[in-house]
Amino acid sequence: MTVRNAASMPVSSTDWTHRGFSGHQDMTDWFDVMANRTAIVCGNGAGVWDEYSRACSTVLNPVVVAVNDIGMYLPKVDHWVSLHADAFPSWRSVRDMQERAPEQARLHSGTPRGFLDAWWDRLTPQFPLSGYFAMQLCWIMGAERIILCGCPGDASPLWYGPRTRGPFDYGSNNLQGMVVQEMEKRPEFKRAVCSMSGWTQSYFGGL
Amino acid sequence: MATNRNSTQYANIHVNKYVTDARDLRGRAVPIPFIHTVVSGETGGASAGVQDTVNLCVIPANCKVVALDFVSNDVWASAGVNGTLEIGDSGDTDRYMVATELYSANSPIATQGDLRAGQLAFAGQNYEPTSDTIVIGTYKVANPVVGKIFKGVLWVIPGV
Repeated sequence: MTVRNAASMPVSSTDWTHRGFSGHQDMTDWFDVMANRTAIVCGNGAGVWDEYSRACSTVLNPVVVAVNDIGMYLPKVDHWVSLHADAFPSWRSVRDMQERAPEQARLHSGTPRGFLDAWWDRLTPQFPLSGYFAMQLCWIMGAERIILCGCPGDASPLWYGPRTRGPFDYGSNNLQGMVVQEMEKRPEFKRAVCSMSGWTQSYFGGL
Repeated sequence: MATNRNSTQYANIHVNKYVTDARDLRGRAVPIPFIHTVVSGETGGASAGVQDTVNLCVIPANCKVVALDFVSNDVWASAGVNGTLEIGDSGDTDRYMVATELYSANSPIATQGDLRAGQLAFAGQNYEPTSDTIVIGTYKVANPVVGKIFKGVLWVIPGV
């Protein structure tokens, strides 16, 4: 089982605060590892391959952050983020079967597992989808700009199938509403984000 | 002949004239709001080992818990199985709200038979923790639907 903090938990009950968020455990080594860098966050939305290609053409030496399944196949992964930590061993074995230059993708999740490089314990508030969670971690790790690819934040199809994952409630009173509510408290974070497609593009703006 | 008796509270304040504090008389209720959006990957199962929990808010030490307002927007709407949420703390996992089904808009609603909105569970009414206490929500029976929200207010009267 995993313990999480609701957005309403007081900051005074946590171990650290950084860039508008708080949490437990000593995470100071992770703060600012992306300082002055642009992060490209790749999720499972259908347009991810084209969007990733276009984003890479505009950014010199980006930090590439994979979200969930797409991390198996991206040419380069610096950080790999998921709210489903138990899938990492399977995903990683698929990635390791392919011939590519040695790399060290750092694994991040909010669920405690021994194979993780970073367990974001009781992150407060925690964004509710893996893509948003990755966006949040990029901000905490100091990214100056965050480009969302394949993270539409709506019920768009997936890159590997005709339908979105479910059951999710994306509506304005639910997932999207939570994002808007938290971003209104952190306008500098919102200004750092842009998206290549979907609801997130209409909310954060495009590249 | 019918008998009239005094409650403990009535006897302490109006008969024995004991010195009281805000928790006994003329205190002010303080709202402690909480809200949580269900995160992808949160699980609710049949046993404690697979029941994820959410820290909701903190009741300061020596406050008297006097009311709970709670509402959700259909947390188990499309999961196919009606899960439950209970609200308690580390000493009693359903001290404030016993396991309650949340499968209708604005649930829990009166017709469900599991109504707990606006009233605390027996164990939680007038409860006074002696140290700061984290209020914990626990998912049971089934996984909640990602993106659904539950929120509410615990009302407390600060003590001495």
